[in-house]
Formats: sequence, C-alpha cells, structure tokens
Amino acid sequence: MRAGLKIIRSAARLAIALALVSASTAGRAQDWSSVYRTVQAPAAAEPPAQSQPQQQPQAAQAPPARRNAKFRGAREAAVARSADSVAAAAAAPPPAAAAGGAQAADVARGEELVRNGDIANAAKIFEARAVAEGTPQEQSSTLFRIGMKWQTDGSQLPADKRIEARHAAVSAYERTLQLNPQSGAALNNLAQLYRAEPSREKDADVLLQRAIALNDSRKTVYLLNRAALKRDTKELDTAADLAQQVANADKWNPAARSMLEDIALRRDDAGALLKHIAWLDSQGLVVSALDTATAGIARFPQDGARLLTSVARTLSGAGYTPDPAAFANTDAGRTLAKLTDDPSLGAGVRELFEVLREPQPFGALDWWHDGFDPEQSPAPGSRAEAMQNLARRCGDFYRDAEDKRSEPYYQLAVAMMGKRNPDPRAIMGLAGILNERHEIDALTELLRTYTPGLLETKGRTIAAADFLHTYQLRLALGMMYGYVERWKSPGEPFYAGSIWMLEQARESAYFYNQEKKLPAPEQLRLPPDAVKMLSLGRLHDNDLPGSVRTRLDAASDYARIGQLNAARRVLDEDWQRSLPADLDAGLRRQLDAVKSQLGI
Amino acid sequence: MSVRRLRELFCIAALALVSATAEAQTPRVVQVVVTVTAEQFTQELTAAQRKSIEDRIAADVAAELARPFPLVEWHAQAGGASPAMTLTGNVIETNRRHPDRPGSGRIVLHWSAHAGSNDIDMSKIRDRPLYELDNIDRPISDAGGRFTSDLDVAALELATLEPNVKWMRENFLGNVMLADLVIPADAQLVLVPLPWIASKMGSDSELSVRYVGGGANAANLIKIRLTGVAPRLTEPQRGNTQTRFSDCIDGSESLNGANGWSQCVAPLGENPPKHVQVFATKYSYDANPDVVGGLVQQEN
Repeated sequence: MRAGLKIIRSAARLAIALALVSASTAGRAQDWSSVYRTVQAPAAAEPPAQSQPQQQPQAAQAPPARRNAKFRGAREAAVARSADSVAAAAAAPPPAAAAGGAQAADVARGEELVRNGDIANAAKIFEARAVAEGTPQEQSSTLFRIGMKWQTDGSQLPADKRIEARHAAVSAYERTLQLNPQSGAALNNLAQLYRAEPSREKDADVLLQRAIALNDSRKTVYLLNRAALKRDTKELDTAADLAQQVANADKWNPAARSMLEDIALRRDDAGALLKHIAWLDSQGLVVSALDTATAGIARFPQDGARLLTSVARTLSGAGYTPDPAAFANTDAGRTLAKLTDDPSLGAGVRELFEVLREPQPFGALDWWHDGFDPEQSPAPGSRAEAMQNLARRCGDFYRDAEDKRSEPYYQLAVAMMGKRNPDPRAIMGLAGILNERHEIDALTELLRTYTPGLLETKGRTIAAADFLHTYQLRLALGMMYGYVERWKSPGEPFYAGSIWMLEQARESAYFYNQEKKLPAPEQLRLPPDAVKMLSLGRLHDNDLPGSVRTRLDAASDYARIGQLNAARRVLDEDWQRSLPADLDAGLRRQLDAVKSQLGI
Repeated sequence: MSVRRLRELFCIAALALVSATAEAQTPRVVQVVVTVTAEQFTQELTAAQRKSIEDRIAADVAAELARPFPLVEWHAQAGGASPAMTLTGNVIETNRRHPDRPGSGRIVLHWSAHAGSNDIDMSKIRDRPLYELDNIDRPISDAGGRFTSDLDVAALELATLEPNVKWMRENFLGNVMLADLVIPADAQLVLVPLPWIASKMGSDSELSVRYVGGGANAANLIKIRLTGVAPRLTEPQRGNTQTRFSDCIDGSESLNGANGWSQCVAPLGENPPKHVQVFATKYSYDANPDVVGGLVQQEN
C-alpha cells in the first residue's frame, strides 16, 4: 500500500515537472529578448557563450542515420537534441542585459506579430531594433542571433509560415554579412538556407567557399557542409576530396568519416569504398575499416568478393591488435556471419571464420585459393595474398603470445606464399620455431623448398642496387643456412651457404651505409647473433683465427659506437672458455685489450 | 547483523576510502608516465639518458591521447596535486632464456594504470613487443636513437590504433574522475564544471555522479545518471556543461523523475556540500560541439 502511494506520488511529481518544463518551453519559443543580449567578450580562460541550441533548421544532408546527429537531416538532428536543449533553454535565466525601454516595447510588438503569424513585419521590427544601437560588431552579432532564431524556430511554425521565417532568416544573415563580411558562422548558416533551394545551390557554394577561405577555427565544418552540398548535386569526386581534407586533419572526426562512407556508398561500384577502407587501414582505424567493408557488401553485392578480401587484408595488418579468434564477436564479425549461406560469398565467409578460429591445413581452403600460384607469389590484391598475410599475421600474434598455434599458422602461410615470394617473414617465423626446437630435418626441407625463391628475389634486389633489401635477404638466408649447419655450399650455387651469405650481408650493409652517408651509430651492421653465427661457421670451416677475428672485430666495432652490451654478447663467457690454450698470441692480446675496454 | 547490512557497511567503508583518496586528486587530469626498467637498457643508458627518452615518449603519448579524448587533460609532467589517474607504460624484459643475462628475453612495452590506490585492469591492452627473442637485429642501447624511435612507435599505438582507442573509451575513460562538484539547477538540470568546448562531448555522452548519501546510520552509495549534455550558456557555470537528470540508484532503489531528483540530486544543493565524483559512463567524441545539424550555433 505504502509502495503504491509512493509510486502515485512520484508519478504526480513527474507529471507536474513535465508540465512545468512544457510551459517554460512554450514561452521560450516566443521569447525574442534573448537575442538582444549585450555581447560579452569571453574571458581568456572561459569558453565563449553560445546561442542555446533549440531546434534544428533545414540544414544538412542525410548520411546514414546510424551515425552521429551532426550530419543527419535537419529534423532528425532536431529530434536528437531538442529535448535536451529545450530543457536547457527553459532553465536559462533572462539575459544579462535584458531589453529595456524602447527595446522591450519593440520586442514585445515583434513577438505579438509572430504570435499573429505576421512574420514579415515581425522580422522588420526585430532587424530595425538590432541596428538601432550598439557598435557594428554588436549589431552584427544580434542580427546573427536573429537569423539563428528564425532558422531554428521556423520548424515550429505552421507550414504556411515556415517560408516566411526562412526569408526572415536569410535577411538577417545577409545583413549580418553586410556589417561583418568575415563572419564564417553567418556565411555557413546562410549557405545552409540557400542549399535547400535548388535554384540557389550555386550561391550556397560561393558562400561556403568564402567561409573556407577564411581559414578560421571552423574550417572543417564549412568543408563538410560543402562536401554535403557537392554530394547532393552528384559531384561525388569533389565531395569526397572535401571530406577527405577534414578526415586528414582529424582522423577521429566521426562526421568526416561518416560523410566519406556515405559518398562512397552512393557510387555505382565499390571502388571508392575500397579506397576509403585502404585509408582507414593506413590510419589504424581498423575497426571502422571492418565495419565499412561488411556494410558495403550489402550495398555492392557484385563486389562482395573484393570487400570480403579487404576484411582479410585488414585483419592481417599490424593495426589489428585484438585476438584474431575474437573477430567473430565484433560488430563486423556478426554482420559477416549472416552471409555464411550466401550463394556467392558463403564459402569464403565460412573459411575465413574457420581460419580465425583455429589454424587450417592448406587443403581446407578453397575460396581463398583464388590467386594462388605454387611457383610465384600470390597475385597482388588476390584472395590468396590476403589469406597468406592473414595466416602469417596469426602466426606472429600467437608467437608473441607464446601460443603453440603459431606454428600451424606459419605452416599455412608458408604453404600459401609460393616458392618465389620476396617476403621472407612467414618462412623466417617458421624457421625460428623449428630452430628453437632443433628440428633440423624440417628446417632442411623448408630451406630446400623455399630458398630458390628467396635467392631469385635476392638476384632482383642486387640487380636493382637495392642494398637494404639485399642485406635483409642475405641476413635471413645466412641465418637459415646456419640453423641447418650448412656453412658452405656443397655444390652449385656456390653462394648457398651461411658463411658466404653473412659475409655478403656485411658487404651489402657497407654499400648501404656508403650510399646513405649514415653516421657510425646509425649504420647497418651485422647484429650479435649473426656475428656469432658467422664465427661458428668459420670454426666449422677449420678457420679458428678467422672465427676469433670475426668476434673481436665486431666487438671492437660495437664498442666504438657505444654498444657495449652487444660487444659483450659476442664475447660471451662460454665462447671464451672454448678457446684453445694455444690460441695465437696476437689474437689473445687483442682479445684481452677488447675485454679490458669492456670491463670484462 | 544481516548480510545486506554487512554489504552496505562494506560499501560505505570502501566509498570512504575512495573519497579520502579522491580528495587529493585533480579532476580530469591523467598523468602519462613512461619508464624503462628492462635491465638491458638500464645498464646501457645513463639515468639522464633514460629520463630524456621517457619524458619525450610520455609527452608524445599524452599529446596523441588528447586527440580522441579531449575530455581529459593528459599531462606528461607531474603537477603539484595528484592526478585523477596515472597511466604508465613500462619497458620490461620477459621470458629470459638465461635468467642471469639481461637482454636474453623479449623486450615489451607493458601498460598499467591506477587511480589513487586502485589499480585499473588493463590486461586487454596486450604487451606490445619491442624486440623478440629471435630478432637478430635488436638494438642494445639507443645508438642512433633507434630505441627511442621504436619505443615511440610502440607507445603511440595506444592512442592511434582504433582497437586500443575503442578499449580506452569503453574501459579506461570511465575510471577517470572528471569533477568533484555538481550544481543542481532548475528543471532537473545538473551543472558540471567540465569546459564544454574543450571537452568535445557528443550529445549521446552520459555522465555519472557518485556520492555517499543519507545519514550516519543509513548511508548509501548514490549513483546519478546524467544525459542530455549541452553547453551552459548562463551563470553559474557558464561555458561549462549542463546535463539533465535521468535516473539514479539510492542504495538498491532505482529512482527517476521528481522522486529521483528530490532523493538523489536535491541533497547536493544543501550545506555542507557533499563530496561527489563525476565520471563519464559514455563518451562520444564530437569534433565541433558548437555545430548542430550543420549549423554553427554561435557567431564567434
């Protein structure tokens, strides 16, 4: 019983409160005195005051409704914010410098005319009052607020009066601009009124161009409004360029991204959308890239395969940091899951989810084989290329997480890479795991299958005098040959051995450093593990002095540039203990000197 | 004593502790700290060198986090008072192959955070590898600035990669105390001292006010939900954020409307002032909060 009374009391209080708000709101719509407030220069540390947002005019556009209210249609935006802003307006006390005397009388007369539907004459009175006193800046600001009020209140008027309110708003803004041609806000808002009339779209464009040229703090707003205008007049390339400028300035701006997506979705094919997705990927906006791609499949079913491929491409990028297996639980994953039975894409979607859930054998994939070539790299941009990269990325991810799934993912990536793939990452990932486990037979088989391709690629980088990539490939090959203890080539080609490759890697580094004129600390040089591998190779080649000299020279070089830890690593204690007692006296003296320098 | 009463007392004690901690905190301020503690680098770099690197990376991260989250003030330098939150990126070494040999393990960047004495769970932000065990080209010191450069790239990913930013928005930001004061106003409005323009709050953002209400014998944790964020155009709090009371929880009772207002919000206007904490339960970024439907709302 008591609970029941409580509910009734609460409901009654709520009803009274709502009625009060409603009454305040109704009064507020007729209140024009607020536009005549004295203009106060905002204090330095205080944000400037704003006209309280009330209802939205016939402003912009109609990009996807699921995006923010910023660039929704005017009425949608009005609905989105009106409740809050009306409540806010209701609470706002009268302006600091309330109209008094003649002003109050004029305002009251104007409000009476508005109530009677005589918008045109009310507008004349309000404008005359605005320019009756104050500085030109104050007059301009008052006229701007009058324009805003007509523009926002217009939607509350009866349909036959809205056009008059619109004319009144245009008049107020035009007079604002006569007094202050540099008013970006007036240029922008007037343009929004013009663009609603097909015959005045060009005028709107001119105004927005003027606003953009001001280069003020709201430039991105003007750019987006001009993008909306160009979008609506079907000048989609220009519209996209304008929106892209905003996105480039602030990649987190949701209105810019929404506009870009909306423009791309109005094209005849998915080309522009894919370009937008590539931009999102490049910015690390991978969640948006996935959402955009999956949403695009419904809009461009004929390009579904390209968009699905882009999903795999995004997931394989370094910017996608979550667990790949968790993709199914994302918005994009759920959208994509609805396509598992799609006649053209279903197989690709199912295989993608299976690969993300757990490593799959090469034979389990069919849809994603498109573009695969056992002898060459997958075709650029193909499904196979995307899947190969995705498998390698999963391998990297689980290797970092020290998860045993990394090996089968690397195996899939290697199986899909083709024998002459210039990208050694997948094969290096797998080789690293096999070496750690001392699985020499598997490593040997890996080398036998794939080194011809790496060597061929290296031939191309040498021919192109690409010293950096030549160095990297030689380093990778030298280490892999070292893993299987192939210190020298047993036959042709003569260079297929660890010692030769690592020596040549050092030479490539030398040429690269010369070409780039790098200062000593920034120069490429063999890392400690490679130095130790080369030293070990020479030892196996019965070249003890060469083996020792390799380490001593590298240690001196590291010490010279201050990399003392690297120097100590190549002179590790196990190695020193392994040295014979009858080591060449000169080498022994050199070793002692370097050790002394390093404090070991 | 009933289980419920015990639970209430526990909540009150916890709140008192939080309140005591929070009193010394500066609302809105998150301090970003970067430390390099991996032995490989502490041996090879002097303290001054390390500090220089740490300060530079912290400043970069703070500046980058301010882009998607202008609601918060991101500081790289320690100020006078305690920040509302401290976010720390630490370069550590894990999984050493040889326990006695620094540099034989993985070098990773590990993120953690705490508000006062409360740790924030950041385990979903995975350790970012800087140098793998089998990275044969890993630097040993900062020769040529390579370590600084690699660390900068890794640290900035917290603020530039969308999955990380999404996680920060949904899980981190809500723990940052944004204000310790609210002012009830007419028409169920609640004023919050958050600078409107600088905060760049989207209209669907939501705030939460928490405080201990009731008397000494019937203290309750009160949580108020505030929606309808908008600029405050008049005094008091002109230029700050105006919100609308949505609903509240007083202990275990859910309330809204006039009843909720009188029970949860109205006491905040009474003397002595209550110590409150304001958090963002939902934050959407709006690049131009003074633009609605394509219209600029103010001339200057």
